[in-house]
Amino acid sequence: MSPRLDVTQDPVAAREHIGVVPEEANVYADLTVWQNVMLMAELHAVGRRRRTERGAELLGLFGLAGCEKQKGRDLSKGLRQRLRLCMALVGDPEILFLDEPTTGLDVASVHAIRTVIARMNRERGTTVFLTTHNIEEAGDLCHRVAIINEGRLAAVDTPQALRGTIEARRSVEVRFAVPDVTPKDILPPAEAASAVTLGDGFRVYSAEPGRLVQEIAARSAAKGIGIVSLNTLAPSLEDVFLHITGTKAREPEARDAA
Amino acid sequence: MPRSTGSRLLRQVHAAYVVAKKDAVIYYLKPPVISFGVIFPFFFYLAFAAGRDVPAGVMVPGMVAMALFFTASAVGPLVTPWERQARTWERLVTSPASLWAIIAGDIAAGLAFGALLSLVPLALGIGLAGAEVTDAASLALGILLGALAFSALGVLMAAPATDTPPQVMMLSNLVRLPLIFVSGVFVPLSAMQEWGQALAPFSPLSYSADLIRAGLGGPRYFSAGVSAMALLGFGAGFMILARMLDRASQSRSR
Repeated sequence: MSPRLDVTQDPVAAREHIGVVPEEANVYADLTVWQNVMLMAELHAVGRRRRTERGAELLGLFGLAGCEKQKGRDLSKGLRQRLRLCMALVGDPEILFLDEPTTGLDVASVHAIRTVIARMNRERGTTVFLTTHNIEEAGDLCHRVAIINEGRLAAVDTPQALRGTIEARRSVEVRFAVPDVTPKDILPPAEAASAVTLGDGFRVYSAEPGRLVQEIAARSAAKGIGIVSLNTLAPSLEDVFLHITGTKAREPEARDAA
Repeated sequence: MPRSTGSRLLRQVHAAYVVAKKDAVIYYLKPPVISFGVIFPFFFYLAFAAGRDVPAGVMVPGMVAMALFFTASAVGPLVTPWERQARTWERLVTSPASLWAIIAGDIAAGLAFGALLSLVPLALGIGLAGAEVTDAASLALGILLGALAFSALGVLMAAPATDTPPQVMMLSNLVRLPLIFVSGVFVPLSAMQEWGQALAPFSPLSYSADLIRAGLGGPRYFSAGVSAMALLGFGAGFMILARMLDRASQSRSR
């Protein structure tokens, strides 16, 4: 167990327990993959034997085994990001800060990174702070999600509880067998106006999804339009985010008007 | 248990060593370091001494002092701007290395580079020009403490927040070149004009060149103690200033 540290009073001591993957930071292009990892291990004062073992283990976990002698500049974006994570983890941090760890990466890298992050938390008890614009990623990976709007903490809770806050914003998603069916063709004007058009259907938010499902099914049948799928959906974290930030964004205007 | 002060200090000394090792691997062979640290002083020396009948007792100490000055101060101006440009600086400042340790590591890298490369003109001077070491302690102090002060000067010049290495290299030459003329590199301080003698104490190169000259049998202008203290003072002062500027640029970038 680490001693209690005040990060404002003793930032250097606090950094011994922290791993950081800043979005902007890069790997050393002139150093090899192995030298990059060993550099961070030495800065964290990890002993020679431990850093050799841990370095090899991390490179294996992130699919970088065999790339040890490659220079940082020769790696693809995805491999560089994996290396950044190896560099942050080689000191066995108790707290890991990740800033947009998967943005713009290939599917394989995203999968590898998400798997290891979840494993670090589960098996080693590492606390992971993840900053991301990918809300579904936050929902999948995190035990608690904080939504920050205009620099202020707008909400913080478990993903489930956050979704629960807008339970009234359940939605109905319908996909048709024929193209070019618009919400206006099926829904009453008031509900059609708030619908989101999809490629082969639309999604509409409602506090009464059951009634809406019946109405869509009946009107489609009456017009002879075949339905491929018709689902009621619980609110996503994205819906929660839009709901919270949308409300907050309107507040200044309301104040101005008042 | 909180770590003891001694143990924390040791960790930071180790961190400085790791930073210096990284600098040596990455930056010693970078073109700007080679051109401004090795080629530049060589041609500068030729411009001064070639074709002139300069006695070995004057030429060799001047050559060693100038090589030391340029080589030791060549690494520092490159490292921080290069790291800011390559976006590796954030990685260092979020590691457990303190800003002191990072700066000390950068200074140590320049010190080692300068001290080692100055041995080349020294060996040539002894082997080819017949120079003799008469006071090894003065010579060693002149080289080591000079390398410390010059390397710290290089790191200080890199401290203002810029991520453009050529800008810093230009600035460093603007500072370094005038110092050559007021530091008794090719003319002993005692033989310089009054205005030169008045300016010389403000340049760390004066003290290093004086120690090196004394080490190779030449006349001494300052006492060895004064020169050593002055070089240590310049080194410490440059280091403190560099940290202040780095802290200020970190605060601005937040």
